[in-house]
Amino acid sequence: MDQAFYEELILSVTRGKVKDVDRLCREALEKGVSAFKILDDGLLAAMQIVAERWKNGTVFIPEVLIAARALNVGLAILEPYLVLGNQKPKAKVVLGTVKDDLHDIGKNIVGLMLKSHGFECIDLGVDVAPAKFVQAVKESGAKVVCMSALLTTSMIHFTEVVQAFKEAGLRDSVLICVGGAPVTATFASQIEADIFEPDAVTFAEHLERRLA
Amino acid sequence: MPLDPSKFPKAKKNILSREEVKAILRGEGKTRPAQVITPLLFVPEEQPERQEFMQNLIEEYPDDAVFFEYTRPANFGKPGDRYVWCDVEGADPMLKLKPGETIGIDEKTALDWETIQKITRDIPDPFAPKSLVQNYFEDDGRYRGVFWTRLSFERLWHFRGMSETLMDFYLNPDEIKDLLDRLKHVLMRAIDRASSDEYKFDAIAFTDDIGMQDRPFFSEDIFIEFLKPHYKEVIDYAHSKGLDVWLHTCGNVEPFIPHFVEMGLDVLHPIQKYTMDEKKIAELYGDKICIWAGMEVQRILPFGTPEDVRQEMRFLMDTFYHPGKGHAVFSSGNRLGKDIPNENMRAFFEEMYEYGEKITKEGRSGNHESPATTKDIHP
Repeated sequence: MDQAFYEELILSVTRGKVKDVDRLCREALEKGVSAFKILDDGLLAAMQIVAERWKNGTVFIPEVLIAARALNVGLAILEPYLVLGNQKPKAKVVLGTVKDDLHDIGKNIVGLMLKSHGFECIDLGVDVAPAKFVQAVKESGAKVVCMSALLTTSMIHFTEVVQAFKEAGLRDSVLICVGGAPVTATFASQIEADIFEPDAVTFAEHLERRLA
Repeated sequence: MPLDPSKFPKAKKNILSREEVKAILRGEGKTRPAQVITPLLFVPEEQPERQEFMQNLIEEYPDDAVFFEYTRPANFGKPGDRYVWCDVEGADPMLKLKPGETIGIDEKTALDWETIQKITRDIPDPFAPKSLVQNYFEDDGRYRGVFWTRLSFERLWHFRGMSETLMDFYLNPDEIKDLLDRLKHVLMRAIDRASSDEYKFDAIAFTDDIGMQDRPFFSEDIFIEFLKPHYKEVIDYAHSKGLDVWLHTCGNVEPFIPHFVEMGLDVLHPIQKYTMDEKKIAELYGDKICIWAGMEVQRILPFGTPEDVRQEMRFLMDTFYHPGKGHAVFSSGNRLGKDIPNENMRAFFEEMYEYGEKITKEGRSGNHESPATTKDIHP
């Protein structure tokens, strides 16, 4: 496929044009283009542009969401061919909001961004007890735990989750990541979290670098 | 109704009258800054000791303006219900949850467009309940308003879920505009009742959180296309009924403030710390709109010292209050949570009054910086 094809695919993703993404991915596969090339030069290149625009402050959550949605449509089409290519997910990530916190928009956006970076997400939902985070890691073999809180009264539960992993003997085998409106880098460091970023886009890139 | 000081027997301060608060709002205030905290004073019943502490504190330092809250319509009801947001049988997504499945606040009332179209078009009707205002008491001479929570974006995402709503701006714009049009008529009915002889409020206050920590949820273009016309019609209608309009909106809303000014919004809350530069906002818009400045609740109030709280209050007043004009009233930035120590709470109330008196007599010192400029305050 020529450069114009990839430009059209990238534009379709960044504008959230699901039908166009669907059509273009199928056309390319039919013409024998490698699923990995469509993924790298089309879908992921588009998300890279969205991430750059996020960092520049020129896009907001709606634009990120519609692009991630379009990317997921493309991924679903490419997935059988990617599996045939023996590509493994980058890592499994367990995520949820902590006990007493039902605010999950941030967590959901983190999940979307992680999926768009190829991570496999195990979403535990909201109001998640420390033991449930530990159990999910034991069952899935996940190497990353992401937890979020919107309330100052619930972010103290981060500490309990960290402690639960210590008691289970798993603290050194997982990266613990925290986020949420009231969370600061100082607080994250104080509770011995491994990664804190102020937003989902930056976090997904940080995690990818960390696990590279 | 003239202000009757005997109604505040434990008060350690003089109370401002309705006219004095109105003057502050219009930039003609000659008094100390007004305290307007109680709309954000939520103490759960399971904290009786805290309730008693707060009750005593508010009796010592009564608010200068009183806000009541409309009873909120239930999210879900049955066909024929007149004061619910959705009267479609079995529509509540919570009824469909599987065992062990959880759902966040942002999505738990989310409906598809097909269900939304089935909702009776003119509900909820704010005239349907016999009594609409919680904890109502008669006019005591203070400025009085009523809160209707969720002006537009907040109401949209309670219908559609947060993620879907944000995408709807691109994917289903006509449906969003139709939903806002329905909502406008509900809000106008709420305004009608607030201004009726039954209540005769001075103001109606709305909530609509459209900001995040570092930027708004959506672009200025989306605001202009969808929300601004809606806000404007509601504000114009409230003004036509003699009501001031107060708006609480969390997070960074800086790109929208010129629009708030243009559409004639009277009072804006809270200019959330750590999301915007308060000095810049005060300089650009402080003489154009009354700021309802909110003491920061994510770090300073819960985790700072009482002196941090006092220092922050002095900073806020130095930044936003114009002695001889007013144009600012003071409060907390959001709900006062259970993690705020009592000594910080007392410092907050005391300093608001004491420094308010001082600044009115002596003018702004200009020397008070926020403790956040020199300290990293955290749990």
